[in-house]
Parts: sequence; C-alpha cells; structure tokens
Amino acid sequence: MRRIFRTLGTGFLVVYAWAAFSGWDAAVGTQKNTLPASARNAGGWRSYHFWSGGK
Amino acid sequence: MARKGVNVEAIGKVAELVPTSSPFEVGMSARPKHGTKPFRIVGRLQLSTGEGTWDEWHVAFESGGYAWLAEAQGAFWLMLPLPSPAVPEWEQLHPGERLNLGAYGLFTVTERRSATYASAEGDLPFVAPPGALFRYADISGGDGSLGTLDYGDDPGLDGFFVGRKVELSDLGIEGLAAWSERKVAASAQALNCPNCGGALSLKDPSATVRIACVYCGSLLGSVSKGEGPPSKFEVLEKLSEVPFHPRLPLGSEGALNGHPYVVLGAVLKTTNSGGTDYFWTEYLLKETKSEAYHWLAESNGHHTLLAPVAAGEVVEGPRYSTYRGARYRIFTRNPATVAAVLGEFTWAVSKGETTLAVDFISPPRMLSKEGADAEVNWTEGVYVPKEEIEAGLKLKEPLSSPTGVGACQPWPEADRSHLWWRLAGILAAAAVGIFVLAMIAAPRKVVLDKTWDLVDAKNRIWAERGTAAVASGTWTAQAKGAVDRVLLSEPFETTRRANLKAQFFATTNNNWVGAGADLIAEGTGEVHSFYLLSDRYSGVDGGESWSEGSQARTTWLSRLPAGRYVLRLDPETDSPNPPASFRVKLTSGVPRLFHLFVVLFLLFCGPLSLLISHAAFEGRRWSESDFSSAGSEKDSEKESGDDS
Repeated sequence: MRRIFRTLGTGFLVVYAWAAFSGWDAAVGTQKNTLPASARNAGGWRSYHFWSGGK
Repeated sequence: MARKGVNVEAIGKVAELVPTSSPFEVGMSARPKHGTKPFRIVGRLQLSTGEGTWDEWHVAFESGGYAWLAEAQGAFWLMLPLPSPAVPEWEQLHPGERLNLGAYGLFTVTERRSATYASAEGDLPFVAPPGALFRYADISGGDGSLGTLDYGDDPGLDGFFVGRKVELSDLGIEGLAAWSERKVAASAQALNCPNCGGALSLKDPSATVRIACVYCGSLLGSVSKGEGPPSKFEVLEKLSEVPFHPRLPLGSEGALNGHPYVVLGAVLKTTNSGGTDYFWTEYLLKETKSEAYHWLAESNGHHTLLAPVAAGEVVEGPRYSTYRGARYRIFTRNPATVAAVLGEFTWAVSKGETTLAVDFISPPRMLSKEGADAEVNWTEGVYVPKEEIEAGLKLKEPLSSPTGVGACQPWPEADRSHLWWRLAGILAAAAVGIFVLAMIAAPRKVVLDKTWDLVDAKNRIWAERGTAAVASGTWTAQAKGAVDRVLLSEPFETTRRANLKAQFFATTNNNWVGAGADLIAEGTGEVHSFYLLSDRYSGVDGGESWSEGSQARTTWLSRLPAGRYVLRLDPETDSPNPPASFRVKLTSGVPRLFHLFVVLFLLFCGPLSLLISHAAFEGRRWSESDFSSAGSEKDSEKESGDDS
C-alpha cells in the first residue's frame, strides 16, 4: 500500500508539474475549432455574415 | 530480644518462623555501593494479616541508628524511621486518599490494615509479642517512595517510616549467593490435590496462599489463617469440575515484552452493566527475574500486560489520571467480582470478592486502579497483540481472534498513517515548490485589458433591434434587425505556449451581461470559443438579505500556442438598464492555484481516508466504554448507583 501511495503521489506531482509549466487547463466551457481557409482573410471572419450564417 | 533504650530484654520463645522466599538472614552484613551506610541484619520480624505472612528485617547501621529492610511491590525497600508528621487517626484514613505530610510531601494511602506479630528472631528495636495486634497504613509518595504509618495498638501514631527502593545487587550483602539456590528450591513444588488427587505443579510455592486445582477447581489453602506451606493446604471449597477454561495454560513459561514470565493463576471476573454480565480473565504472572507479580488481562481476545506502579505517582481525576507525565482518559468504572479462579495465588483469593475497578487509557497503554475497603492498587501496562502472546508463551494452539476493539488497543493503521502523512507532506511541499517555480517562470503577461464604454452613443451596443449604430473603426456592427453589435479587439500577441486567463467584469446589479467570445488565431485560423458572463442579483426576502451571482468571472483556456490573436465578442443582455460598460482582461501564462489545491487534495486523500478510518475505530472503542470519549459518563443512572 505504501508503494502504491508513493507511486500515485509521485504521479500526481509529475502531472501537476507538467500542467503548471505547460499551461494545461481543463478549459471547461471552451470549444476549439478551425476556420476554413476561405475565411482567414480580413473579409472572411471579420464579416458579420460569417458568424451569423447570413441571418 | 527486644531493645528498651540501652537495655536488652529477652522476650522468650516465639512461634516457629514460616518459610518465605526472602533472600536475607539474620547476621548478614551489607556494604552498599553508594548512598547507604554499611549495616548488619540483626533481627527479623514476621507479620501476618491472616491472609499472608511477610518478613521485615531489622538492620543496624555501623554508624548507629536502625532501619527496616522490607519487600513490597516486587522490590526491596530500606525504610528509615523519621519524626512523625501530623496525620489523621487510623480509622479516618481511606485507601486512595491523598495526605499532605508537610515537609515530607504528598502521599497516597494505599493500604490500611491491622496485622499481628507472627514470629521473630534476633534483635528487634521494640517488644513485639507474638499474636499482638497492631495497625498500620502504607502510603506511597509522589517520587515513588514508600512510607508506613505505624499506629501500634492505639489511635496515635507510634512510628513513621519512609523508604526508598534498593537493588539487591547494590546492597553488597555477603552471603546472598545462597539465595539463588533457595530460589531454585522455592521455584517449583509438586503436590497432589487433597480433593481429586490431581498432580499439581506449583511454580511459586513459597509465596502461594491459595490454590485452585486445575483438575477439579477446588480451592485449597491453609485453614490456620493462611499460614503454612502448600503441602499442608486443605480443601477450603470443594468443586467437582473446573469452573472455567483459561485460554492460556497455567504454569506455562515464556517471555512477554522482553520479560521472563511464568503464568501462575487465572481469575475470571465479571461485572454487570445495563443488565448484562460481562466477563474477562486476569492472569497472575510472576516476572521470574525480578520476582515481581504482574497481570495479563484478557477481554474479548484483547490482552493487556500490567505491572504494579506506585500509587503516589498517580494523580487521579474524575476524567483523567496522570502517571509520570502521561495522561490517561477514563474508560470504565465498574465493580468487578471474582466469578472463578484457577491456579496458584499469593493472596487469599475467593469467589465473590468484589473490588471497584477503574480503567484509564492512553492507547496502547492503560492505567488501572483496583480499590477495596482496605487497599488500593494501581497497575500500568501496554496492549499486547495475540501473536506476541502466542509466540512469547510458546502456545501450541493459536488464540482465538479478538473481537471488537480493545480498550487500549492501538489503531492498527497508526504506523501506516504516520508514513502516509509524512509522504503526503513531502509531496505537498514539492507541489508547493513546483507552484512557486511555475509562478517565477510563467510570463503572467496581460495581453489585453480593455473596457468597452457602453454609454457613448457612438459605441452603444445595446441598440434597439433594427436601429443598430454604424460600425466604428475597431469593430463591426451589423444591423440586421434582430441582433446588436459585435466587438473586435485590437490584435495582440502571446510569446509562448501557455494558458490564458480571461476575466470579465461589469457593474451588474440585478441584471446580467453576457458575451459570446471567440479567440481567433490569425495565423492558424484556430478559434477558441467561450462565454463570458457577469450577473449579480440581490434583495431582501422575509427580512433577510440575499445575493447571488458575481460581477466578475474568469474563464481559463488551455495551452494556447504563441501567436497573434484577436478577440471577438458578441455581447448580449435582456435588461432595460444594462451596465454602462464591461471590461475584458486577458493574461497569458498564469499558474493556477486551483490546480495546486487539487493536487494537495489528491495527495492527502489517502491520509484523510485513514483519518476517517481512525475516527471509526475510536468510535467502536468508545462504544464499549462507560464514558464518552470526552470523559463524561454515558449512563447517569449508573453514576448515581455508583455514588450510592
């Protein structure tokens, strides 16, 4: 049990260190998408119609 | 011979001395190593309470003066006469009571009895006619000293003696080598039970006062007031079968906690609590090295090894008692009655004998008091696991497993808990260290901090549907009849891959402002979408004020690559009076305290679960007690019964 606890504890620490230095976050409530290439110019994603779907 | 001043008076022939296991003889000389002046044993006084006989040795110092050398509590004591202090009369003394003897200090009365001079030899400092009655009280000092208040045969105090413990080896007594031979001779004796004829093998015949035959259970002893060797014992109580079967074989020898022991006898005791009879067994052990008598108490398979301690060193309280600086909490207080006995005993044990037993615990240790009319005895000891009993006494059959939690049983997970807490503490310190390093290394750079003024007519975004304002230079608002404006930030850059802290604040008051947010990476076209909200409601309901929501909220984005970004906001509200502005602040690379707390929680999950397990264990322990863990008595009826 002691070995398991030590292994688990060390594991938690390693994961935490990685998260702390890499900037990982659970980012709850966020979504990640990629714009289509056609929308990457200034007239693309900056246009209202791009986001509102033409409504 | 008895001395009267400088004269010596012959008191004639006295009764025959009863053989004892005392190592001393009249005529022995002592040259103590330190602390005590050389002396010579000049007389021996044999005393009897009717239940047992003991010796006190009159010693004369070469430099003048006298003292008594006595054996008590499994040790040897050199008792010096001192000027008598003011003390209550003998009848007013109570075992267990504390006496303030002024300059001599505090003493506890441990025994108050009358005895007779049974026999004597040699030179005594006073006349001790055989059969003469005298009264005394033994007292125990806070420094472990032993005292005797000698009242003689009248109410006043005749003599006061205080002694200190001496080691035989330090006394330098010539001729003590012969004692080892006598010890061997007195260490075993075979005889047959006068009732059933069973072959009895006594392990401590010189001190045995009662025998309960292990074959028929009959109680054997001397009819003539406890005097006489076991070979002359007669049947005091006849039984046809043994009244109980002790789990430990009587007569077995072995070692417990590093001390050599022989099991002499077993006493089955009982008490009634709440209408239920509870039983436990107390084994009388002889520590064969020091010749002291110890106890091994067994209840529900739990064993506690107890040794006598000086009552004067115990400070007793209603809830706690202390002994040598250690504090013990009261656990049980019950009248304990002898239900049955088996084996050999050094006192006139009898069925039905009742004492008041009070146990105090400080697991794994126990402090126990047993009080009767004439005396009070304290013992202190430690819990012994059954495996150690089995191995120590070389038992052929394993003992049955204990049930429940023993009174002073240590929590089995104590060692593990200690290790886990230590490990968790080390790992937690490391986690805090990582957080500090991350704080030092993290950029924590504010990449956007902008307040959008919502009052300025030009920038109004809360336009009525269909009447939206014209786009400004930095953002585009598109009137479409059903929507308000969309805001775009100036482009900003992050210098390394890191998280992003997005803070949103508005002076909301019983309204709300929200904004759909899209963080657009100009280089890659990656879009991180999230929602920002500020809502704050408060009021008074039924005379009580309440509030909910928050004007400020934070959203975290994970591992955002370095690059150039633009924040697009799509604000909304349904309030007719929305706040005049809202503020958005984006900070790149901020180590989260929340993550540290999560890790600390995970690290301490194990130790905390053990803590809960410990609490449950203590709950089971105290469910068996007459008192709560805080020390108050559970059953008030019982308390009033005890008091009566």
